[in-house]
Amino acid sequence: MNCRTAATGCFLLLLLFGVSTSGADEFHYTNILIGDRASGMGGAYTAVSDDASGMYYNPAGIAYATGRNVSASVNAFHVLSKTYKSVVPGQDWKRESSSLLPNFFGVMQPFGKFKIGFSYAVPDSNNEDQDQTFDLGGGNMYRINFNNTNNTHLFGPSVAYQVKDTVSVGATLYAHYRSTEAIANQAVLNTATRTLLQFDNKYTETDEWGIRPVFGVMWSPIDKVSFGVTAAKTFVISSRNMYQGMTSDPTVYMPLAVVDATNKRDYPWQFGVGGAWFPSKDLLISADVTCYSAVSYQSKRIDSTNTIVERTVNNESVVNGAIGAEYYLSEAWAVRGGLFTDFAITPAVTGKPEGEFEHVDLYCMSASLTRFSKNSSISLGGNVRIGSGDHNVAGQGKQGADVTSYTMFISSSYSF
Amino acid sequence: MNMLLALVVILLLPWPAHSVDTAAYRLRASAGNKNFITATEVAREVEFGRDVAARVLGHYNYHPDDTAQKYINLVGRTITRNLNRPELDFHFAVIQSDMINAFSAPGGYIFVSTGALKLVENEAELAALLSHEISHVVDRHILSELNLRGDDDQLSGVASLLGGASKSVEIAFSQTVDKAVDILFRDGYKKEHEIEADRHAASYLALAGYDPEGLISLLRKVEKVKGKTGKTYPSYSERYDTIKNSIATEAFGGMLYFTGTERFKSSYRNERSTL
Repeated sequence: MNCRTAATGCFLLLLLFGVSTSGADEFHYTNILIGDRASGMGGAYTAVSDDASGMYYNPAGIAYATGRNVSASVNAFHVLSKTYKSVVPGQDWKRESSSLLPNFFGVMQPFGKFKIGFSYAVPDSNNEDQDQTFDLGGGNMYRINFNNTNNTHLFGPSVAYQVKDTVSVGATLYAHYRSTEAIANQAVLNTATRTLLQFDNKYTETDEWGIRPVFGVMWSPIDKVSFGVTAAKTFVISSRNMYQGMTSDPTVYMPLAVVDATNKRDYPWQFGVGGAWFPSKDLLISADVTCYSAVSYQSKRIDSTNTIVERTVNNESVVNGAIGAEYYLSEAWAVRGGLFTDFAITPAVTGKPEGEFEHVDLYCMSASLTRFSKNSSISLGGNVRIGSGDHNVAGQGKQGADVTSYTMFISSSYSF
Repeated sequence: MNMLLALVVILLLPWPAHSVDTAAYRLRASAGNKNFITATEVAREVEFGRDVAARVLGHYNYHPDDTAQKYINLVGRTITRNLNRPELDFHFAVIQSDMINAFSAPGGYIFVSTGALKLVENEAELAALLSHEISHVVDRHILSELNLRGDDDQLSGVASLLGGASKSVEIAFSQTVDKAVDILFRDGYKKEHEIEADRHAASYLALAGYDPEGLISLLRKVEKVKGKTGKTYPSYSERYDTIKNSIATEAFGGMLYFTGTERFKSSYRNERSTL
């Protein structure tokens, strides 16, 4: 047996799981765009928000919605693909996730001088089935196999009030629910001698409940121009986290460890500022800048000795931008397009021996086509997020990382 | 936090007086699609209008002069070629009545009384009279006033009335036709619908090459004969202003239009004596 390569495999076991269970795309904040028009416009919707998806982007905007409105992004197919280069010399580690999900539903109606509504949104979803074998040389193989689901759900009421012709205020109070489940099996084995050199099983589960208030103001200082500002933050009220681990090698068997913990994640403050210009009934141009504050909180993980250890998660402050446009080809057809950024919230990779998460800034574009009939519309669209950066998931120094994400959606809305 | 406070203060400060109609500029092109009606709904609008037209012809005799009928149809169809409702097939008829009046039934049925025609001096004025009535049809004013067509719900009311087969539905339909006839003969259109019809009529005239001022000159004659209007009806001065504004807004002024005095006289020289 080649001790060096076997040792490399065991070393990977020390490190890979720590990153593999980081589910959804926890390294970026703009993972799935929400809503019908907004998804096509790159999420540049803070100063528009005058339909049901405004409850998510800027609840003040729904004060300007005409009539009652239901909007449902019936299906969004989200694919996330990550390639961590040279995890093993000459071999890349590929992670892929695909989810088919209903990612938005909203309904609203006038109530006296107010507009009230209710919406449901899924801003993040991940469903990984990982299965990859690395050839370590000398007959030694390293195999990693895991399933990982991680979904965030938001649902709750909204209210908006038109203070005067040019100013409205609004708020949404979302209930926040995030559930994760990760099962990982890793093994290093020698195919020549049929020897299992190391086996590792880990299981983690999280049920997280909280609230996410969203406050917004919409202001139209001059004709055909509006500005929107929003503030939002998710406050975790309860979090139940379960960690289980079992590790063995030919000499040591570390039995099952089960730990329940209530450590809570911290989410950033999110401030958005947007502007929109409505030059005609055929054209709309909008732009957003969204700032996320830095957060730092204690989390846990299972190390290679099957011990639950504390770790500090440091997410950096991020400023993302988006520009979008909507153009009506006719009363019945509209096209939308957008460009937006989705910058990494992780610190820059320095090559620490204990390993580091990826740091990849994503540059994104979106487009959609909508067909309107008398009181309803149906949209087909999608967005692409692409970026290259660094990783150090195996603690072997800074390496390249590529991230690509596609989201296709079919959405419909109905006004009555 | 200071920035947030500053923003709140700015919003609370009285902004210089200006008119910003946020609802208007937020309205997207697809909102126009709400006026879209299906082929079935158009067919039922025409069917409803045909019944209303039958009631009109039950009250007034159809004028027997074929030349007069042909002429009014030629002028009317010249105007309707430029409308945004190509799905409607318009029909124009002269009815025998000394009252100065004109009627329009949904679906494209236009009636002009011989009394009204006696006021007309040229083809542009005749076109103006027809254009005003055409606008009532194009903008579905009767259906709107009967609440058969709300802003959102289009013609579903008519569709359901005509789509039903039971006796009670037939009765409801007949009563609805009665109400439409009441609007035509007794109550009149709403003030805003009359104003809208004047505004659109000016555009129809200009687009067809007729002098939009013909509507003003015709109304002046009507005013001279009929005198003041009722409270529920727009005043003549208001109507003149509307037409002038429409001409100015659409930049229809200062152009050489067809008035057709000679053609009108030659077409009606013989007929007018019998009208």
